[in-house]
Amino acid sequence: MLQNNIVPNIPNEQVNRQQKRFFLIPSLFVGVGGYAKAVFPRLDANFQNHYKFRPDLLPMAIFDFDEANSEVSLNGNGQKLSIKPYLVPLSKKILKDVSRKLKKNKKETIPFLKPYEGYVCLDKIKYVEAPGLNLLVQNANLAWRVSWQYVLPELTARVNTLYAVPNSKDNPALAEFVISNRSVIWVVAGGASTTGPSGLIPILSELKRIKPPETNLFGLVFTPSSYRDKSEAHKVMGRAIFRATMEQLFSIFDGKVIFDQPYGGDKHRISLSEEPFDQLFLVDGSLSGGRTNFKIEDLADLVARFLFRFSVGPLGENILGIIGNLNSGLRGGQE
Amino acid sequence: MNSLTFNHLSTFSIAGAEVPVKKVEAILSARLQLEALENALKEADNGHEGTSLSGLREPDLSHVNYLDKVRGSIQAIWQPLMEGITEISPSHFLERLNLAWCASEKKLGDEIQTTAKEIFNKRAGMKAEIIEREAFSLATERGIPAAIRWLDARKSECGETRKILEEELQRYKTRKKKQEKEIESLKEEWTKILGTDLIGTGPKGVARNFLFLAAFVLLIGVCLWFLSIPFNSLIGVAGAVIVILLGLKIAKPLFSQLRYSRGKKITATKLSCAYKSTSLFGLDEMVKRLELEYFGETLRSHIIELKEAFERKLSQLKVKKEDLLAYSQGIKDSLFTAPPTIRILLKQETIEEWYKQGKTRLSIINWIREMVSPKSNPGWEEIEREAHEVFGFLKSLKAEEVLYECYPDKETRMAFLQTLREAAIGRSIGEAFLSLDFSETEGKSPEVWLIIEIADPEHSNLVKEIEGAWGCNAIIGFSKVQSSDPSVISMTGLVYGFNIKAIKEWEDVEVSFEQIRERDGIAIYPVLFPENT
Repeated sequence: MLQNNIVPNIPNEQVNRQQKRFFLIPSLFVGVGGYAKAVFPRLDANFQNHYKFRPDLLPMAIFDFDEANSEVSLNGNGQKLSIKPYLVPLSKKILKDVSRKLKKNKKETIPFLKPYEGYVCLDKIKYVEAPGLNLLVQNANLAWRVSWQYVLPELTARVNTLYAVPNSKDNPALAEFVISNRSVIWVVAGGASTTGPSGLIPILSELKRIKPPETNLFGLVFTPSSYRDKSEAHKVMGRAIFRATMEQLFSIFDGKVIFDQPYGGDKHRISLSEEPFDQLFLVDGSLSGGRTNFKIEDLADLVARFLFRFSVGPLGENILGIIGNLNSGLRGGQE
Repeated sequence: MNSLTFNHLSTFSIAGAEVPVKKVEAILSARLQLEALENALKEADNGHEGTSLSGLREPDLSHVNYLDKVRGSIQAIWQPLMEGITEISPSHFLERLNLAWCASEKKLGDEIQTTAKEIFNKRAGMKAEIIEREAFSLATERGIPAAIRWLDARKSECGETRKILEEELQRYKTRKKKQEKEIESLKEEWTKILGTDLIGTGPKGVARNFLFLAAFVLLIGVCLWFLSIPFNSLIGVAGAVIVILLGLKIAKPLFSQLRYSRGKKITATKLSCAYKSTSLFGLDEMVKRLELEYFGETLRSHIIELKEAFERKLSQLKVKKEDLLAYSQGIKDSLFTAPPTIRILLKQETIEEWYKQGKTRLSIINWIREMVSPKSNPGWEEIEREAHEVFGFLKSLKAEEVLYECYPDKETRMAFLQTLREAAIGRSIGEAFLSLDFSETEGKSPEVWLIIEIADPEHSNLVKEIEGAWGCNAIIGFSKVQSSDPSVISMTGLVYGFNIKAIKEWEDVEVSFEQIRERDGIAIYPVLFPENT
């Protein structure tokens, strides 16, 4: 039974598992771009096989400017698991119209761009008729800001499910679960493409702002070395984007810059005066120092497996215990 | 960028060994269902003929009882007439016969025929149930094809019986025609008898003549006595002869009368018997037609309907078998499929042992009964659920136990675990799913933790062996946690506290960054700050 991530849907057979108590760390999984599309359906399959469904306390969302679907087989039995229930496709159509007007020097006819002056290089906006953001960084910069009116409600709704933890005992659907008092938000993104790196900073910042204080916020980023099947030109651009993104992310983390920027017109700003994440995990898809390099499907499988094992058993609490002490010195007051 | 060690920068790795319990359970439960299907679909040998139609018991004898009752009531119409033939006036005899005929025909009217037909139909329905039970039993024990063959044979038997009954019916018709002809000829004879005129002396005249003869004999006797003529003299003998001849002549009408009554009685009896037989022929013919319809149509159509139901069931089960085979094969193909750092613990002999163990927990005969039932669909979901339950013991299977079976020797076992360890924390400690350039870590190792997930870590022998081999290590932190799935042993490596520049080939990243920044300027940055634009 495929699970959407909003409405509780507990199959009848669960009531027969009286003897077994399932463990769960409430975790929100936010995916940004194409790499998340490889990881999340595998993660979803792991949850479905383990619990027979994906509980509401494990919500997922993928934000992408490419509507392409991704699906995996559930148990090799022909049943497919798709990302459609939690994919939030974002439109880049506005880039086409903005690009056309900018070419004709008609910036004054686009009043909604005014709040973004200084935050976007408008002279680098150009539209390409192809899925995704095509390594055009300022296209991505603008597209995220314009689309934030759709992103924020989705993030907020899912973060709010983590608030349900204290009330879990009253929820009959969760009667068979042992729910950890820890909670985690994972932001999974490719680091050397366009959508992932460009969305990483605002999403982390917004989540840090709206999440419950006790919830851990982790980023999980794929480094340029994991983009092995891309062209050399793509790799060069990808490495540059990664370097730029990391620089800005760490600058915000260190307090060298304050992230206070308009996203969603002049109606909303993401303002953060603390670290944008608690821990940043990097993976490059190699093993033992590069002796083995994984195919993207295998890497996605392993990342999904890690996230799954983190969420369903004491492993996650153990790791949180190890790295939790590292957060005590953060400006955000994580203890 | 900051070149200091950054504790909030991490990587991880995950390796492990697992028993694909869910897949094995799915494969074994499908195999058990397939075994039941094979039993239902098997083409058993043709040696077993099965019970013949006549060998199957009759559901009840109500049709026989009923027909005897009807026959009895018809006989009751003719019996008084047969017994009192002599009391019926010859001139009214035919009329009486016709009345009795009408009465018996009325007896065999619509009501009787409808009731008889209903009884035969009911009989056919009940017989069909008996046949269905027999076919079902055959399908359960010897497979649906055997049941279909048996039904085919029963259908043929109905056809053969029908032919025999048709011939018998034809004979009935022939005999009835013959009987009718005989009635006509007897009626003619009767009419002829009635027309015979008995001219002459009637019984009273014959008696009167005998009196006169007796007086004459007395007179002759007196004369002979008076004349003293002996009786044995010529005159006496002549006189006696004359008396005898006169006596015969006088008695002749009497003999004729007797001869006439006997003939009439015989003809009357023959005629009434012929009528009665023809009347009963009508009943017998009706019964024969009903039998013909019973075997030739009603029962035969029941058998055909049942056979078609079994044939449909056979097709459905074949489709189900193909679906199950495809499902099972799909899972088998992926049984040993796992990501590169995960090892599957499984031996074929062990799978067979598990199958045997599970099979002892359930008798598949109930499934077979459900599958072969022609009139209802099996509860596949329930069967599937039961099949999974049978192998539910696999859920509590511990990967540690299977690991010890696969690697009974400690040395090979530890060598195997070592490969998992290297996958988790790197052959060079600290390289999980991220290659590091240790020349950029300023000589400082990142923090490395190895976390073992296993069922019952506190009492696990394997954990004791691992702790003994790797536990005391100042470089690597070690912890053990309870696995949420006993069929999995996982090793998770956690590495943190390194510089971003320690990422392998970071220099390529810097070169590419400089190259693109030169071309695009600040546009390379995904987020811009107004003070910098």
